[in-house]
Amino acid sequence: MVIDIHAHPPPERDGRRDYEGLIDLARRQGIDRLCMLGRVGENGPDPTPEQIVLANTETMDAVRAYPEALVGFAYLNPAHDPAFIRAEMDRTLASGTLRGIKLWVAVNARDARLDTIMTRADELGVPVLHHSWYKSVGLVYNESSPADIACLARRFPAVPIIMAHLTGCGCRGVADVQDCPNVLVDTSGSQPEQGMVEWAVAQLGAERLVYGSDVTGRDFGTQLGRILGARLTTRQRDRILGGNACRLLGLEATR
Amino acid sequence: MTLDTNTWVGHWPFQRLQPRTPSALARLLQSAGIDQAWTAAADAVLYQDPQQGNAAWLPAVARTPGLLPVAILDPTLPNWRASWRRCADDWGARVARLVPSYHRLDLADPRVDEMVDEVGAEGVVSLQFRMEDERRHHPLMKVPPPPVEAIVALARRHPSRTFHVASAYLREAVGLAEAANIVVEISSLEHLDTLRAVTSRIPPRQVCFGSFTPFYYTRSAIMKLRHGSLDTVLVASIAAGPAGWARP
Repeated sequence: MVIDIHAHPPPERDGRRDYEGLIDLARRQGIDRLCMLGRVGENGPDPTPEQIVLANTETMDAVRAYPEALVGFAYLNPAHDPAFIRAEMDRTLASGTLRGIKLWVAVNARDARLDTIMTRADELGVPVLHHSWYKSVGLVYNESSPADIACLARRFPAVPIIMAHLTGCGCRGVADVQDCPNVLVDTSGSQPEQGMVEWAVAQLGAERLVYGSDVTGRDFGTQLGRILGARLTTRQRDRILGGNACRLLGLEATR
Repeated sequence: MTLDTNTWVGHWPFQRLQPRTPSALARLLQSAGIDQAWTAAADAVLYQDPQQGNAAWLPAVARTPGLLPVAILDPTLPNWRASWRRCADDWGARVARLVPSYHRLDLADPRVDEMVDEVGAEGVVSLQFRMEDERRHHPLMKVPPPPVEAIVALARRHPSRTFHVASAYLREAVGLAEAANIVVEISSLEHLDTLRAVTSRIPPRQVCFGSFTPFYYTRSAIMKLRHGSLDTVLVASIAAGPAGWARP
């Protein structure tokens, strides 16, 4: 089973999003399931409650329409009123329709406003996928660094956190989360820089990496090439491509 | 036939490049199904005189079956002609590559035109658009990419030459392709279903294959060739590159 833990919806054209086309392209590359993180970024770094509800409704509709191919995460903005956040988590996650939470750049991972989300994620037993990057060109809004993710992980050690963008986080980012066993890292981010996957496996273990592409801004094949081209054992590769994600999302590890 | 127009050997201070030797590089590329590869010396980008890097690696590259030496040249150095002659005559280089950003080249400088005239008469002039994602540059060594317009203007001043540009992103490649005599390689072009997306924006005859090995995983570029939805005839022509770029 190959699972892409980091996918975004296809762009809207003529009032619809071509999920069939996206799933067909994924299947061409041997990817069985896509984890849809919602229309992150389309409404800027600080989406309104209405935009959050719309994004998550779209993700739930897509997951219901293609249950064999898609799983989904709820996109949340920690800056919103805690009562709204809890209601949205109940609507999307407690029902079992979506299986995790996506956080982007609205609020930094060190901010106490994440507590509502993290506490409820702990209660529901769902993972949180959080954007992260070390950049030398300045941050986007309240963008989090891997050190910020490590801080969050230590505050909520029972919540599995997927730190997005391995290559964007770099070796420093891997070091930041090394002693946070509840942090996994997705392999998306930047260009397919040779050696990064092997380094992360050596530092964290293959059980803490998950394949992610960040489509539709990226290409399935280019991003899969990092895993297929890395010097790994078959067991390590299988874990990264899908075994770890199956376990994390409670999916059966069969095609 | 697959010609990789963007491979390197040697050392780079910000990434541990592997494989390190031309023979190991050739084995890796052959195992990926790549028949021939243009290969440049990474060291040459940062040495004050790039010929130091060329001299360190091109003799071994020239002896390695499947690898075709690429000379890194800085036309603002007074000895660039002698460097090119050594690379071409002694090591068989038929490609000269400029690295405008790292060598701080003004592409409107007449010395660049002189080099294009002389090198272009017997080989291909290539330009390296970037070496790394600018977001991941060392904070004390930020090197912005060259202006697209400057490369387009250079190409338009030499309409009888074909220019190769390596490691541009898609939006930059689309701008570069405004000059019909520029061919872009695909290692840093990325979009959902990359080759179909690229060839819907750029004429296929202006697109060629490159992997940027060993900076990138070779497999990532190969996946673009083998697993997209583009017509296989077009894919084959992109993989082979323009006529005359591979060794017979």
